[in-house]
Formats: sequence, C-alpha cells, structure tokens
Amino acid sequence: MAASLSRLPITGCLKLCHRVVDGLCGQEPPHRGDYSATWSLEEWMELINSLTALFRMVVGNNSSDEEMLAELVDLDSGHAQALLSVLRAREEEIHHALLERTISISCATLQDFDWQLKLALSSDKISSLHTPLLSLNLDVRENGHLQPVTVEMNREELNTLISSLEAANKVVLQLK
Amino acid sequence: MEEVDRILIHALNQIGTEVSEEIGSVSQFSSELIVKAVVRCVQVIDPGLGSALPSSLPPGMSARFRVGMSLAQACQDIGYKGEIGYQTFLYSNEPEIRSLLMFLVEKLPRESAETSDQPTGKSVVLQRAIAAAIKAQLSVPWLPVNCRLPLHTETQSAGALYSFHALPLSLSHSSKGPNKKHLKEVKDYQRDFLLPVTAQLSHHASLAASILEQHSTVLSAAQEWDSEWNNQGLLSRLTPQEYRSRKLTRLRKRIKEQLRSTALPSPESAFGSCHSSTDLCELLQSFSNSAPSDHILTKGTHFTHTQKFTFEQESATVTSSVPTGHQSDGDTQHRQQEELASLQQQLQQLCGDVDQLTADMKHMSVTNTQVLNELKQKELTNNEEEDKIQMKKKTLDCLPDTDNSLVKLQALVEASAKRLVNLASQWEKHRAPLMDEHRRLKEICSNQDLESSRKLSEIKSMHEKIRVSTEEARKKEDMYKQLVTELENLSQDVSRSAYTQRILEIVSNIKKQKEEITKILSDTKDLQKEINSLTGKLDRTFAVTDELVFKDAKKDEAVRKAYKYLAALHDNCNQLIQTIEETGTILREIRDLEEQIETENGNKTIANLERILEDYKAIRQENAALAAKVREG
Amino acid sequence: MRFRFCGDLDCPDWVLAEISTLAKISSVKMKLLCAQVLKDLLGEGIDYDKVAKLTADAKFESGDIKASVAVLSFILSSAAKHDVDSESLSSELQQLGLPKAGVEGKNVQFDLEEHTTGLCKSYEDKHSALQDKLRETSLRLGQLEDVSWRVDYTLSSSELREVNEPAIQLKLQLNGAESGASETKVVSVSAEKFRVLLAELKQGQTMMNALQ
Repeated sequence: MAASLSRLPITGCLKLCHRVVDGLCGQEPPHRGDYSATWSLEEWMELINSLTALFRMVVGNNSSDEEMLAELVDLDSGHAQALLSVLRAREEEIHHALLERTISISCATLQDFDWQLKLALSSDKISSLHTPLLSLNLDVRENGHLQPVTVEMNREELNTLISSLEAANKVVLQLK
Repeated sequence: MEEVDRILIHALNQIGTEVSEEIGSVSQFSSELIVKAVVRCVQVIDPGLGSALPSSLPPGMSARFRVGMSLAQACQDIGYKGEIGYQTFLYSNEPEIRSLLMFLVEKLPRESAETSDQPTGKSVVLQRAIAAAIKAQLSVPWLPVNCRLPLHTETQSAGALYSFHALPLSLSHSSKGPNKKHLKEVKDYQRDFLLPVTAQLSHHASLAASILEQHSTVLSAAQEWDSEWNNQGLLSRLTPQEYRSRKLTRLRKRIKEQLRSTALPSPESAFGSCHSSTDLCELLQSFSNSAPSDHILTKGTHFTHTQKFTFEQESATVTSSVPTGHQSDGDTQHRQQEELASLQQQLQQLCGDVDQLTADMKHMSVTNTQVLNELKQKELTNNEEEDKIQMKKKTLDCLPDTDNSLVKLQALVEASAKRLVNLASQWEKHRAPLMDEHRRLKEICSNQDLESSRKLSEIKSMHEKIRVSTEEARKKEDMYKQLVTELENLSQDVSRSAYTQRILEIVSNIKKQKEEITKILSDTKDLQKEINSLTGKLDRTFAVTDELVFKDAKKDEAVRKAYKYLAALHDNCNQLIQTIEETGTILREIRDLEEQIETENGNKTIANLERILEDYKAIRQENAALAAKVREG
Repeated sequence: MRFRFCGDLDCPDWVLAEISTLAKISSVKMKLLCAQVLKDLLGEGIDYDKVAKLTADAKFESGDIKASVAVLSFILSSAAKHDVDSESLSSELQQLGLPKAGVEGKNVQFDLEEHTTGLCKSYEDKHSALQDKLRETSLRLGQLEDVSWRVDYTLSSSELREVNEPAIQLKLQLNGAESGASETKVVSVSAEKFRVLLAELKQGQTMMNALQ
C-alpha cells in the first residue's frame, strides 16, 4: 500500500485521502477513473481498502499519532504526515461515521423518517370527518435492505407516542 | 345624484371597468364607456351570457345597432324591468343610464362582502381554502403526460417521488468540540479540500433532505442543551465544560458500579477478575478480550493468565509427543497405525488430563485467592497480637524495680504533661490567628455564596425574561401580520364605510327635510284655517250688514244705493278672490310645464334626433357601399 | 327528487320499494325494530329471533324481514353519514312514504307519521353514537397500538473502542394498513436521530393542535 501511495505527489495524496474519508462517511467516494493511470484496478481496490481500514482502525482505537505513524513505517515521512493531517482534520467525522456503523450493528435500525400531517375531510362512512391524521414513515434498514414502515396516527395515538418518546428522552438526557 | 354616481363609478372600477378619474358623474359617460361598463357588469353577473358580448363598440353603424340590441336583450335577461333598447346605449340619457347601472351594480355578486361578513374562525378559513384549492385543481383539465406543463406536475403526475433520505454532510460549522489542537489541519481541509455542499452527495435528490436533517439535528441539540443548562446546569455553578465533564464522570461511575454489582455474584465466571480493576477502561478491556484489534492488553488479567498457561501446557505436551513419532520412522505401516491409535488414545487421555487439570487449576486458583485472603487477615491479626505482647513484655520488665520505675514514670508523666501544656499554649498561639483567618475566609466565602446565588437567581430571571420577551415578540409579530392582512382586506372596504357614513348623512338630511316639509304643511294648514275663519267672519259680517242695510234700505234712498254698492262690492270681491285662485293654479301649471320642458331638454331630444339622422345617413351610406361592393363582386 | 339523507341524491329504488313494507308493521314494533338495527350498526349485534318475533304479527316472510332490516340500516346509516337532523329526516321519509299512504287511505297516513316519528326518535337518540361509530370505522392506513422503549448505553463496539453513547430501542405495535393484523416492529435508533424524530413529531403535534 505504502509504495503505491507514494506514486502520487503529496497534494494529490491529500486529496485522494480526503475523498476516501468522504466515502467512509457516506458521501461520494473517489472515482477510480481519475486515477486509472496511476494504479491498476487491483492495486486501486487494495489501496482504497487499506486506507479505509487504516482510518477506521486509528479512529476506532483512539490511537495516538505515534501509533499511527508506526503503522505507516513503509511510507516516506511526507506522505505519512499528509495521512496524519487528513486523519486529524476528519477525526470527528470518521468518529461520527463509526458511531453510525455501531448503531447499524442492530438487526433493524431507523435510517430515515418522514411525516405528513393530513386532514381527512370525508370518508365513505361519514360525509364530514374532519380528523387530522399524522402519518409517519420510517425507513427501517433490516438485514441490509430498506423496509418502509408506515403508521397513521390520530391525535390520541400521537400523544401516546410522543409521551413515551419523551420518557425515553429523559433517560437519554441523563446518559449524555 | 353625485353621491350615487360616485358609488356607481367606484363599483364599476372595482369590477374592472376603467373609468377615468376626470369623469365624476353618469352624465359624462360616453356611449363607449356605457357599453363597456354594461358589458363588464353582465360578464361578472352571468359569465355565460356575458361571454358572447363584445367589450367595445364597433365602428360600423349597423354593428353598433346590433350590439345595442344584444346588450338590451342581455339586460332584460338578467331581469331589468325598465324601458331598454338599443337607443339606451347609443343615444343615452342620464336618468335611464343611471337606473340601468344602479340595477346592474346591485345585481353584482357580493363575494368580497360576504367573506368579510362571515365569522373568520380558523377552521372555517382553512375549509374555505381547501375548498378553493380543490376547486382550482378540478378546473385544471387532465392532460396527457407529454403535454404537461410544470404547473400541472404538482397535481397530475406522479412525478419524481423521492423519499426523504438523509446522508451525512461535511460542514464547516458542524464540529462542536473545541478541537484547538488540530485547528490548523481542519482549516487546511476546509480551505483546500472541502467540496461545496451541493457536490458532496452522489444523488442530488437527497441534498435538501440531508441539509434539513443536519440542521434540525444541530438545532435540536442546541435547544436541548439550552434547556438542560437553564434548568440544572446553572444551579450547579460550574462552567459548561465542567458541568459536562462532571456529568460524564458521574455517569461512568454509575455504570461501573452497576457492572461491578452484576459481576460480583458470579466470581467463578471470567468476569470475576474485575474485582481488582479500578478503572472503567480496564473493565472495558476485560470485556473486549476477544476483540482482534486489542493488542494493548498488556496488564494481563487473571483470565488471560489462566488461558495462556493452559495453552502453553498443551503445546508442551504436543511437542513432547512428536519426537516419539520420529523415532519409529522405519517401521511398518501397521505399526504406525497402531502407534497412531495409541497416540490418539494417549492424546485423548492427555486432553482429558489437561481438561481436568485446567478445572483443577481454576479451582486451585480460586482456593488460592481465598487462602491468600485468609492469610492476609491472619497476618493482620498476628501483627495486632504481637503489638499487644510487646506492650505486656515492657510492663513486665518494669515490675522488679517498682519504686524506681514509678518515680521515673511519674517524672516522665510530669515532663510530658508540661510538654503538653507547652504545646497547648503554643498551639493556642498559632491557633488564634488561624481561626480568625478561617473565620474571615468563611465569611468571605459565605458572602460570595450569597452573591453568586443572588446572581444566579438574577440570571434565571433574566432567562425567564428573555423567554417571555421572545414569546411576546413572536406574538406581536403574528399580531402585526394579522393586522396587516386585515388592513389589506379593509382597504377595499374603505369606500363602504364612507358610503354608510354618507347614507347616514343623507338619511339625516332627509329627516331634516321632512321636518321642514311638515312645518310648511302645518303653516299651510294654519293659513288655510285662518282663511276659512276669515271667510266665515266675512260671510257673517256681510250677512249682518246685508240685513241691517236691507232694513234701512226700505226707508231711505241713500241707504238703498249703499245696499246696491255693497252687493256690487261683495260680488266684485268674490270675483277678485276667484281670479287670484285661478292665477295660483295657472302659475303651478306653468311651473309643471317648465319642469317638463327641462326634463325634455335633458333628454337632448333634438341632438339625439340629429344624431339618429346622422346615424341613419351613415347606415344608408354603409348600405350603399355594400350594395356597390355586391354589384362590383 | 333529491333527499338530504341520501346525500342530496335521489332515493334508491329498492329503498323506495321497501318503505311500503315498513308501513305494514305497527309503529311500536317499528320502533323496537329500529332499536335492533341501531344495535347492529353500533356493533353490538342484532338479535334475529327478536326481529322475527317483532315482525310476526305483520306476517312478514323472511325476505320481508331482510328487506326491512336492510332498508332501516340504509336510512339510519345514510342519515348519520350526511348528518341530517331528525326533523328533516322525518319530513323526507314522509315524502317518500306519502304516495303509498294516499292509495291505502288516511288511516295509513296517520300511521306513517307515527312510523317516522318512532324511527326519527330512535335515530335522534343514537345520532351522535352512530356518527362516532362511523368516524371510528372510517378508513385508516395503519394504527399505532402500543409503544415500548428501552434505552441502551453502548460502551464499546467492534467499530469503535469507546462508544459511550446511548441508543434507543423502540418497539411499535402497529395495526397494519393492508393486512389489518397487528404487527410488531423493533427498531434501534441512534440518540441523534431520536432527538430529531422527537422534535419533528412535536412540531407535527403543534400543527395538528393548531388545526382545531
């Protein structure tokens, strides 16, 4: 890995590393097309994987600078420093991404939610209904694929939901 | 009339007829303007009827005639009862036009007035808005997909339906920790490598969602922290950082204790080793023993020791058994197999042994710790016992030489008493200023305490005030908005209030006039009465005089003459009165006739006749031209 | 003719036809029959034996019984659906029934008026209950039956050695829209997401409260 990374100048290396971190954090990863002249596909894959693993390892173990540099012994000091600076700049984001990954270890996690307030005006049963309904869509990631969960709540149901969430939130607040 | 005209003009302006400002009354309306106004009114009242009407007078005379006819027809369809025909529009006269316009304006639908009259409850407003929106959507025709404009996509096409999907963004302000140490790197990154937020995500559809989510995350965190800080943090009299760290340590302590209390009841388990760990980190390490990344585990808990030990033993037995296999290199396969079997048996035996040994080891180590503990306790008691023994030994030594030692002891006691007193005085000397100092400091401390609590309460009240003020400001803003909208709605009704005022004025005027009329009427009645009484008096006087004179007339010639004169006078006077009355009626007639003439003059009959003549000529010319064209064609 | 209790539409022919069947039973029995039908509409169940007894002296066949129950169900539920007050319902029903009475004589007309008052009286009594029931049984896409939660505190994970973050496990018991059967969803939510979710739901709640 080290040898192949030094094929890039330091600024290019910085940029690549930042994009790798972007990819790790769920944003757009680097494009292989931009670097196809520098590395073959196999090398590219290996490089990206090892860089990602390095960042994850260092942030995950909360390692010191020295420990990180020890991992990079086979890289010249300029590139190693560049990697270090990338890591220090993005530490918080990586930490956040790792937190997300920790949460997603559970078998079903809430990925996104969306809500919509509707006013039901009329139905086949009664001509003037006038009931506000809040429909809540939860995108639950279950075993790797998204599963939508929809619930339509009237005023009472929403109140129960909110009051129990409030109770949970109180506990969460104590844990922060 | 002016007032009526102003109202008419205002109403016409409101429905979209442009009446220029110079025109102040209906008499100034041109035919064009009249047609325009009437057409507009008809269009508003009945769009179906009005759609067929042209909005302006055409140049051709015969066309004008037709427009006039159709307009008159339309007005009659709406329900106008008065006399109306093409001439009403083409050869207008003021009163007719006024009454027509008044009728039309009254017929105008009063949407705006109705809405402002109805109670504006929130739900009513909402329902009306919903109804309006649905009506508008229904009025939009369905179009095939390819013909749809962006206008329709909202209601007609399923469109691009993106679910709300948020992805993490990298924003410069999102870092919350005070990472002073790496500020330079962060700055470099943000300056040189951070992509604009629109380029950070691979799908653009999620961009808005991501930004919204990020924002509400940060916002809700800030709000939560704010409320927590105001409720509890302030009371703790710590800086936010201190408060946070204290909360964190307290939390960790709590968790540690809980973990320990759950781990204690089962000392036989691997977690039993946690007894000695004093740090949460250590505790955590013992949890994450099996984690591959954990190579910093050097302290070595009890569990790892046993594990290592058993592992070493096992490997040792394996290595010792391998050379025996080497020695029997040259023998036959049979023997090898036998040997293998025996070796396997041996191995199994050994494994069993090892298992047993490990179990023994575990048991031993547990007993060992127990024994060690016991030992420690024993040693402690031992030490105590030894101390006691030494004391007793010394006293025993002193026993033979009692007096001497007693004296010695007394001297010693006295000396020590003296020393004690000395020390006490010295201590007092030191103590007094120190106590003073302590007291002083205590006082300062309590003062500061008071001060700080005062400040705290002040801060709290300030916070409360801020909250209340912001709320108030928001309320006032809302109120302002509402008032502005109300004002906007009102501006249309300004004329309305002016009208009502004018109407009231007019009504009072009419009342005044009525009073005057009644006054005049009563005056006339009085006069009539007076006249009647006077005529009665006259009749009576005449009768009396007539009788008297007639009596005397028989005797005297002169009186007879006088009687004749009297009769003549009476006749003449009667005639005179009659004439006067006739003059009065004639005068009244004259006035009536004059009025009639005036109204006829108002109708501009001659001018209109002239215009009709001209128009007639124009039609004839047009006809002639058309005939010529026909002939040519 | 348009009738308010039919939603400003014409009365269906079968109702028109069966109203004459209703006129055959006495007004007292009619009232009791109405009570049974209302019970059915309110979900308390109808006692068919009782219905049969009630209609016995009018010599109803089973078809007539069914028809009268059906027509009463229609009238009552439709009137409640369109929120018709009992007086209007009464007058409209008389309009529907009157031609029949004209043929059979004055006596029936009087009786019919009694019929309608009996029907409308029972309707008036149960008007709001009926409307509540109808509101309740209106189409809903999923219902929330129960919520349970648990707060976990994650100490460490394979991804991150020191996590120290709370996480929330939510268990939602839903009454599914499609199946109608209740299903249970267990979801773990990160503290951050949870906070946003709660804040958003509160926002929704205030908006909902502002609707009334």
